[in-house]
Amino acid sequence: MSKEPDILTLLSAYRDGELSPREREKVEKALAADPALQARLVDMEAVSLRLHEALQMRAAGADLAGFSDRVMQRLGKRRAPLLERLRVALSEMLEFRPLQLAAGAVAAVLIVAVSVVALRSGPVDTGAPQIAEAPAEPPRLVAPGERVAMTRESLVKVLSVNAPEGRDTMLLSSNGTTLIYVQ
Amino acid sequence: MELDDLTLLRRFQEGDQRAFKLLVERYQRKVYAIAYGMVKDRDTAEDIAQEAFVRVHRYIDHFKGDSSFYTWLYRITSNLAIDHLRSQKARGEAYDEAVQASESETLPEGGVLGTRLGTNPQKSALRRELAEKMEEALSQLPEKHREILVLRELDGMSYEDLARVLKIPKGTVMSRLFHARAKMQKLLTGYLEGDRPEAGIGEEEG
Repeated sequence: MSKEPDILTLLSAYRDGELSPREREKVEKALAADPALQARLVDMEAVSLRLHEALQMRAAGADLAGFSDRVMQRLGKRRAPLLERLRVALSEMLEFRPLQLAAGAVAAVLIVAVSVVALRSGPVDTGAPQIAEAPAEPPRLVAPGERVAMTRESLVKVLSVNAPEGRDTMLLSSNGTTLIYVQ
Repeated sequence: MELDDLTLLRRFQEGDQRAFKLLVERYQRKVYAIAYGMVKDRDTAEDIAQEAFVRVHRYIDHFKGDSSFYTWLYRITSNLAIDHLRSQKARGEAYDEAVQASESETLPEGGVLGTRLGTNPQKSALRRELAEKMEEALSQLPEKHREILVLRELDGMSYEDLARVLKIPKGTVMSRLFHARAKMQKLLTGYLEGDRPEAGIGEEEG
């Protein structure tokens, strides 16, 4: 088998500056001794140069106006992990908006403080019936026909106090509905 | 000051979309040129270039940063272009493998191309004509030769980067490039002989 492919392969890499010092020396010796090999190197150089030019011309001449916008439109919004987003947001605020950051922190502390005070001051009257609320009066006997306050808003009328024996149960009515009240 | 690729990538990974747009603008022409060199069609090349950036965006977390961003991007582009060529081939569309069949490169007589193509700057009309010949010859090469030539000649990618991008040993890069060039020379010699044998289209200015 001819040695030519080997030296030509090396010649191609020589042209690209990709040979080891030993290989380069080998090619340079061959080039010095062989004008035909020199002519091949010139050919390789010419083809590489013109191909490079052709590719560059194509790249430079391409109409890529709006290309990056079209790419960006095709992308979904990338969401970094939550901690990463918080870290970035905080560092940006510290760098660019320290006053706003301080004001935000004060506002957050105030909101928490007001909430705690409001919770300690008891439930807020929302207007809904407080069914489970205990009567303010001490326990006492009721009579049939008597109206008994079950909630703040409503009275119920006692229909009967005849509870079955051993059970403290009464029948009451409220707005036409019969209820069973168990003490 | 221009931010380097890795800084832009880091910013993008932190959620900064503008950083990604800057990367697109930085590489769009190169990516387009690689795609065009492979498929030789403007619209398809732009589609492939767009898709390459979309893939980068989608798989950014897979990028380890142990190689250059552009080698990764070029790899994605090149793979997309090859997928396109193969799908065309499967559909029986124009894909000439005539050259692929002749694996033995019988090189034309040395020095002919150097004379015809020249190595100095040329008039723009001649450059355009020559560029068309080069593109035509390139499109006739088997895809693996087209791919390696485009990557090498567009940007002077090193053999080490080529080996990384193409996932082949460095020794294979060397031999594949030689075979690609040999085929290219053979094709170009045929084109130039069919044109104007009395004068080189690459005659130099001056």
